[in-house]
Amino acid sequence: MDELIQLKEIKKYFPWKKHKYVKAVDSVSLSIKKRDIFGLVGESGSGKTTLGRMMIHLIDPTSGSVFYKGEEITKIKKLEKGLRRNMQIVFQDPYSSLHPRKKIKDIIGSGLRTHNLVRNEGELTTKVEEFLNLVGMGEEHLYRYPHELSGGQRQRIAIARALILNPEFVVLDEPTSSLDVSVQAEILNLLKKLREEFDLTYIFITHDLYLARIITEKIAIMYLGKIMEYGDTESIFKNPLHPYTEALFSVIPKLDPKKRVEKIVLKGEIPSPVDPPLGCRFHTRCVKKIGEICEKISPPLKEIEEKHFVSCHLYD
Amino acid sequence: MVSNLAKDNSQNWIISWRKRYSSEISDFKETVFLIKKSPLTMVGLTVILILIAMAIFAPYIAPHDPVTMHLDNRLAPPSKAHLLGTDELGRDILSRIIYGAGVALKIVLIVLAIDLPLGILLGLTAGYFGGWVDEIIMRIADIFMAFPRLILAMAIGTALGPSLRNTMIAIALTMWPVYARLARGETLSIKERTFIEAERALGTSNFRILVFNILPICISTLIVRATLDMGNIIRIAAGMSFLGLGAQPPTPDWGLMVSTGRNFLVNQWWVPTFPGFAILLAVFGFNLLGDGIRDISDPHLRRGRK
Amino acid sequence: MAKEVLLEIKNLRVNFYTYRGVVKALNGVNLKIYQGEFFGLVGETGCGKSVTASAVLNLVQNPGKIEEGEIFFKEKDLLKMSKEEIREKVRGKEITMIMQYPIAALNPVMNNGDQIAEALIANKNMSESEARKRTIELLREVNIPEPEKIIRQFPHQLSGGMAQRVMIAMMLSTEPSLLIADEPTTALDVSIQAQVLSLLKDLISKHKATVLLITHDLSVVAETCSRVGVMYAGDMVEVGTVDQIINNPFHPYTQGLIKAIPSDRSKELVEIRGSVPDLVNPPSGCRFHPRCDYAKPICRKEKPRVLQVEKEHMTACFLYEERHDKRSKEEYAGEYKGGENG
Repeated sequence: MDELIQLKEIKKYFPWKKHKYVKAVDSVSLSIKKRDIFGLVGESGSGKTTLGRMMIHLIDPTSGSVFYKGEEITKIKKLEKGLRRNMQIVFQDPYSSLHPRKKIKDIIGSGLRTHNLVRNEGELTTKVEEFLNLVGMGEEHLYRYPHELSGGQRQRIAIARALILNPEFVVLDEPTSSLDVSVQAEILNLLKKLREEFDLTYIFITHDLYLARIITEKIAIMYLGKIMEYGDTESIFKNPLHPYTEALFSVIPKLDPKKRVEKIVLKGEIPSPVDPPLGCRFHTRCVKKIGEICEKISPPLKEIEEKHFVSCHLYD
Repeated sequence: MVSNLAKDNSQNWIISWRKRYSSEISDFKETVFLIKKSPLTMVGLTVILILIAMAIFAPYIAPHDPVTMHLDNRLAPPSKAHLLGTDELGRDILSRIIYGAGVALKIVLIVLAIDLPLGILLGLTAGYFGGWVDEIIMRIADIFMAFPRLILAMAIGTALGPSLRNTMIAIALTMWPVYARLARGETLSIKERTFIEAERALGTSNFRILVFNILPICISTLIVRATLDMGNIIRIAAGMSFLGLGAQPPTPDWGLMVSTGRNFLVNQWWVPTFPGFAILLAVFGFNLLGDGIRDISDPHLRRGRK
Repeated sequence: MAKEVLLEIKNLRVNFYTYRGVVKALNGVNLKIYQGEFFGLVGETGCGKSVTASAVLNLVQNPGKIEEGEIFFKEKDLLKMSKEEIREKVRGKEITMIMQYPIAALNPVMNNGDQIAEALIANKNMSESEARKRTIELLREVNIPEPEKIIRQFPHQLSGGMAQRVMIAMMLSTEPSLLIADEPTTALDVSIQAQVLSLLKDLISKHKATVLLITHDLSVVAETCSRVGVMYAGDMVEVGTVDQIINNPFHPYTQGLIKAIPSDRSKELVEIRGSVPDLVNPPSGCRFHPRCDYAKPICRKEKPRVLQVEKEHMTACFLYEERHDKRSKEEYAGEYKGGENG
């Protein structure tokens, strides 16, 4: 059984004002295999961040089930410590994900204390140093505070903090979006190296399609809480089937003028997840809309070519 | 050779100690720099240091015993023997003022020793857990806060009976809601921050999150507030003593001295006036210091703090 | 067809006097922008691109100080103008600016219609009724649906993309000669970014304005701009047309940047070793030398001057001195791992 995580019809509705809900994730089913580098791609309101957190049981789904290695973990109020250690997360903003008043040693070592993985301070320091070195930093940083470090360095600390618990899979929530381009390359190469070394499974959340192409092996394109298209990254890039995916690819700015295609500039704004359009979520902006069927019925995910699924009435 | 080794080891130890705390050391240096930059804060700090010195060294610096009566030398004007004169029972006013510093500081410390822990405990709990716990705690706080402080203190003081101890309890009871609210407000904003979410992802228990992650951040705001309140505490305590609800004779309490001395204001002005000045200077000093600490703690002033 | 120079920055030096020390933010920046072009200024955090924009509008605030330099706008040195002159004649009229977070730049307690109308009345001396009419026109021009409804709403009710379009409407309302856009689409989603950029391009050609686009995203520049300037740590390291910079970059930093960006071309991301320097103690000589694979001893000693290496394509790098200078070969001997250019 190499299915690590399975999500079955996961929904997350956040209550909003009176009797309304922000439908952040609206019925998503996915499965992640061990050693996958799985990308979740989408714009704001797509639900990718919420979905990522539900995968590691940081947020409880409103309905639907989450399975970890075959066992359902949805209902467990507080994950047993062993399970908690297996799933970790690196957050987007390195400026707010580290406690401003704690030293680096305590930030990275926090998990070790909670899970009683070390017997004394000395052991903790040694272990923390080990992981500092792994992420390319030295022991001189042990007693520093986050504000003394750069964005790239802070993100390395966040990675060390997640990995010191020896997790099986890590959710990377836009880990480089807040960093400079040149630093981004360093961090991503570090993540690749660590994945090899520790045999990790990554769930890589990003809004940058080209980044996803370089890093991920499988990808899911999300829009307003639903998956529009998913499958092997290369096959989606070579042959985008969903009109939203096509539009996205056409509008991303490209360095090479020869690669620029006719832009499908989507009209209108991204609708609010409080009142998402009925039927296919994308129909209000879709240039290939068929008609009423798109307005009324949400298309199911269908495998159109091998390992390439789309949710669109064009392929019914 | 052994002694050289020992010297090396102790030097290494000092060096590594300095490395470990280098951030704290530079923060401290920055704080000192900022304090020196602000003359008003320096004034406040000086006043408070003088008060503390008076409190600690009273038995050594006071020229006379503060309690012994000398009825043959009542209401004597300021002179070489009695620099600030004597009161209606012949006691040296200067000595009583010096000992009075200790009384005032004791009041401040005990009130804060009750209120800070109490406020933190209630505020953190209310803010973090929310729900009915929050409602109950905050409504109780509201009830206390609905009354003007001095009135409430007087009421509690009267109910408990006039004494210094009861004054301290009364003042503490009127002030805890402020700290609870402050702690609760800080907790509410901190608990949503990403680094707290990160702790939850690591599996940290609520208790550890509260004590080791949220509390260290709250505490600085609360301490700043406490220093701003020190002047108020002295003022209210002086008021209570003035009304007879606080310190009882023969305790050298400044408020009490003003109260018992007020009949002599016209002809023997020194009897109530000097204690009155003492109150004024103490409150003023604490206020300046409190303002200064608040400004210095402002993260925008400090480099790199986020 | 001779191109007219609209904005020329000469040897601009700006320092920031902070507690930690003096931050040498701009180290003698030179820049020429021609009438009618779309010029992109590219660089990472701390390179000084935003400071350059602030300097043009004389908005460099304490603890920053413009130490040296000249900024010629239509032949007049902006740095020598009085504050009043800049405020009344230049800022908001001839030169306007849009920024990264448009909602933060708008007044939260004034409705959208009032804000635009106010700008029109103040800067174009319109009457109130004229301003109101023109406001609706402007909103239509920037493709805002239901402008009558939007004018009564407040900025926080707008989405990022719409707020940016309102800003563009306001900033173009005075028919400026130069529009400075400081990271205008960085905070927007890709699909909205495309909308805003295409709108910007249309309006610029319609109003015949010139744009200085500041961004860290080279791909955005590739699609919208005609010429590009690359900045690093307070220096302008390379300037050229978009095609030159992207297909034949001279400066090692530009080359490194292109290899590090995820784009339609890359299969992997190549790091630039080292990190952005602390500008309180910047590296001596060429500020990029500690991170440069082609660094020679002279790079540590002297600051390279800007040379035109091919037509319209300039760079400040000792690798290219050889093509233009008659200095003795000894000065160029030293560590030189085979490079691609020069």
